[in-house]
Amino acid sequence: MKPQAQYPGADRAAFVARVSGALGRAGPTSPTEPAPQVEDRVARVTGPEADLGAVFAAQAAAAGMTVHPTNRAGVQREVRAVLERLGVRRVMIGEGLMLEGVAADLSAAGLELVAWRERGFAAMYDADAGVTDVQGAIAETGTLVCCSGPGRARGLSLVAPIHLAVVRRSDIVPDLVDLGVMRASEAALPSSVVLITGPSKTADIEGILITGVHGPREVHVVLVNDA
Amino acid sequence: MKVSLFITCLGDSFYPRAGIAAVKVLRRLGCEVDFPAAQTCCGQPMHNNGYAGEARALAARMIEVFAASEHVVTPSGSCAAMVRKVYPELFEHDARMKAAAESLAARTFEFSEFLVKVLKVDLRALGVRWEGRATYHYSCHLRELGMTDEAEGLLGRIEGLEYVRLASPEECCGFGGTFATHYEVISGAMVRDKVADIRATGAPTVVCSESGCGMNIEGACRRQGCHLEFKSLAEIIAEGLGLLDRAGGAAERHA
Amino acid sequence: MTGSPHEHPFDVPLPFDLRPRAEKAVRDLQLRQFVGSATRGKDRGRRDGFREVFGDRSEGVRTLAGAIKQHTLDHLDWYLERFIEAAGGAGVHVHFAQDGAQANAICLEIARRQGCRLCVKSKSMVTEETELLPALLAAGIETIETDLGEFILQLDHDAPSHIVTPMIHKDRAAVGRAFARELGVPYTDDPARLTAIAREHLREKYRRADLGVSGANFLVAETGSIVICTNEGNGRFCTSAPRVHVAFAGIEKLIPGPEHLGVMLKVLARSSTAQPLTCYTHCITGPRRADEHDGPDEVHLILLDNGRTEILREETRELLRCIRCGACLNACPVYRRIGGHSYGAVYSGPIGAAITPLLKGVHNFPDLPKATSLCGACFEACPVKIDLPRQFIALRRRMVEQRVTGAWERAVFRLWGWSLRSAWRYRLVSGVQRVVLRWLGRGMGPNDAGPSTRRWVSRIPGVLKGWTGERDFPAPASRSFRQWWEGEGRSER
Ligand code: SF4
Repeated sequence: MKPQAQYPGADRAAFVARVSGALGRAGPTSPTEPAPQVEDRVARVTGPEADLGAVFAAQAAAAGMTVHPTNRAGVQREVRAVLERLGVRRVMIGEGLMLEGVAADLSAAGLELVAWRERGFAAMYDADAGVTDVQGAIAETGTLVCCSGPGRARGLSLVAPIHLAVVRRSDIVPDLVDLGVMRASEAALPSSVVLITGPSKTADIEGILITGVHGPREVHVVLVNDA
Repeated sequence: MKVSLFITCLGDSFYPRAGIAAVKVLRRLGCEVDFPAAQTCCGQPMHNNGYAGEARALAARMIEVFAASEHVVTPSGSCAAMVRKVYPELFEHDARMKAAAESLAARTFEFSEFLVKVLKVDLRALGVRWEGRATYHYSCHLRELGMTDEAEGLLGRIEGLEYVRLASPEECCGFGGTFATHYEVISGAMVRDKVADIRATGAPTVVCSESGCGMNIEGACRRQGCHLEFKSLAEIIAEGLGLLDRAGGAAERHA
Repeated sequence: MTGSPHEHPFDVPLPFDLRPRAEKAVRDLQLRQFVGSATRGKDRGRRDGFREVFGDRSEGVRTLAGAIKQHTLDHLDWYLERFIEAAGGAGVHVHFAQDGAQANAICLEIARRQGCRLCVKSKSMVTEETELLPALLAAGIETIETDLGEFILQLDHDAPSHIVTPMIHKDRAAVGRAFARELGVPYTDDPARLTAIAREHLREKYRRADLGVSGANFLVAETGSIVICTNEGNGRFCTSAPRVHVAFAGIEKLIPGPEHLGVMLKVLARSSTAQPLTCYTHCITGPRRADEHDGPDEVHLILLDNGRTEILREETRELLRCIRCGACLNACPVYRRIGGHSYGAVYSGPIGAAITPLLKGVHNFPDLPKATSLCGACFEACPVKIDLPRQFIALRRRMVEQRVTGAWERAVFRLWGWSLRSAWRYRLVSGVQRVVLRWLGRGMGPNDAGPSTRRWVSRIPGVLKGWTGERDFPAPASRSFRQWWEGEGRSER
């Protein structure tokens, strides 16, 4: 079945053949030499021996995110404290191990829970904050890794002016080059994986840095020491 | 140590004093200097402007002229880069010539590079003394030779010389051969900024070893009514060793 | 400032003449100051960032990034096939466009079938190349550029002048005026206020949009993923909110596997904006799945050739390593002075000067490979180590071979080359040159002000006219080095 054959444009075989032609051969053949190795010696910035929690926290802060350290028992309290301090009224909350009980707690505290599950983006535009867990974090760059999936909508970390992410110390990998391993080992890649490094920002007008241009103006990280 | 001087076509006509200084300094450092008389031009203008055949012919000539030389030293960074980087590429499809080109490339050095990397001289220990304030123009082609601050390092070892660094030493002066004549407005804007940078240092002397850059910058300085002294590093060292008269003795005067 | 409303900077008569534009730009002091300080700042940030993080490994990581891209290009047909299979397996509709018109036609057909009326678009140089925006508008599809810079340019009917920071040539007052005129808001030139206005305006569009168009920074062959890097987050909106997502990508965006992505990301953001990583690196592998809550129902990818297979040929292949980071623009002393619009085409700066003539014909853009001093700052900055000066020279060679270079110039160089091929001809020419120039420079000798002991010429017609327009030309010394050597030099100790 080739639905795209009905679209305008070139035929796949002819398109690839042109590329082969430019490379001076009849058709695609598997490379004789392997793809370049990504050696630690060359590319790694942060090693596994580093204090990953500290490196991550420092880099996340440098990228403009606010880090709130806590322990396993303190997650709910910390999430609530941050949101209340920011005056959040309407909040959307993702699913995840770290988020268990958070919704109930916030609801009890009087915050309105936005029902985003069915309506997706349409429901999210009026929320004040989105709360998510992460599927990984990178110490080198202070990056959050958020994947889409059941209970994990794309918009939760994007649409509201505030994004709060709960990150466990054990979620953190040292370096961007570790991303390959992490993802290659996953059975099926999620349809959306987003690496978040700081709030939404622009410097388009005279190079002046402004946050919150489209996405969140503030990103808060509740960093859980689960070691 | 035996050294053959490659004066370059611009150096021969326009900057003989830099070549004379290089010869005197190299001799003082114990080198036996010769000057293969058949040399002309390395072919850089032809190569840069797309005349590969002409460039190849001149490269072949250079390879032959300097075939017997132990070391080839030139005051020009761009000509050294031409020999080192481009010559082997020009003979990509001719194994014998490519090998000869690579051999010449391995023996060719820009003057200050030769002092630092081969002779490993310490100008302080040598007693080079040159009184005055000077700034230094880094020519872009030194990048291709993998040189960054070698010449600045040498200046720093000269007694009495107060070195004032440019604000943007890495920014091109706008020479670029035909670029300066074809796109004079762009090139002119570049060299005006370079002149402003030089003026801001307040130094009366500009150390500039690359003839092309020197013609461009000094010519622009003059046009703007700013009269500074331009000298190659070799001239500074030769003067600092008393090998050349600082004011320029009659024999070495340009005019 | 360049780019008055209603005159598109890239609708240029061919062959394109760079000079008048460059002259105008050079005289525009405000433009020069803006572009100059923005690019210098970015260039410094890039250097510092690399030095701080990689130290003396900077060369190594750039070599690796370049090798990853080069390897992929060397086997591009094979990696394309792998990508197409993997992306297809993940549910992406992959399309093939030989040129820009085909790419746009595919996009319009997708929009037609899906009944799309409102398109939100994130920044993409490829769609600038195919001129998608006017095509969508002509088809009656309301289309909004959502990158703040591009949004402002769209309001102002202007075009990007930098591949990363598209409105580097505009100041806040120009933005304020455009907003007041086109959006009917009270004039303000406060960047924060302006950004807030844009946010509100664009939110409204995201809510209603049914088509999202994006480019792609990388395509991962092994996984079939489309990777998009943005700082503002508009790329995420455009690819997540509407029900249809169409991505445009040149075939050179491929990399082999996810392990290579980490390396490319490391060099991209540092080279581009001096950040460790772009705020959002979005990796899309297929449309929304059955158990997901949001995301597009359909993801289409349009793979574009549009002249790239020509560049893929041996000599110019390295140019396709480009990851459009903009570092070469920021480092370039020419770009700093003439700005992006002077290049007369979508891709500006050193990389533009190299690929525009290849994409559109050297005879149409003969100035671009020549309007450079070959200083090599671009090569030094490039995170994938593209030897741009070498490419300019190769293009000049092509121009000589194809006789795009004028007969007069070719004759001069051939004659010059011939004269240098023998020592006696060389001496003869040098002698004549000395006599003529010294005669022209008579009266401007050592006696005029200053320490210079040489004669100078302030006006020479013909080939050196351009030179003496900006600076004096030195006359040769009275005695050449050769004469000194043959006199006392040889034997002197
Ligand atoms: S040529 Fe190199 S420096 Fe220039 S945009 Fe491309 S990758 Fe960046």
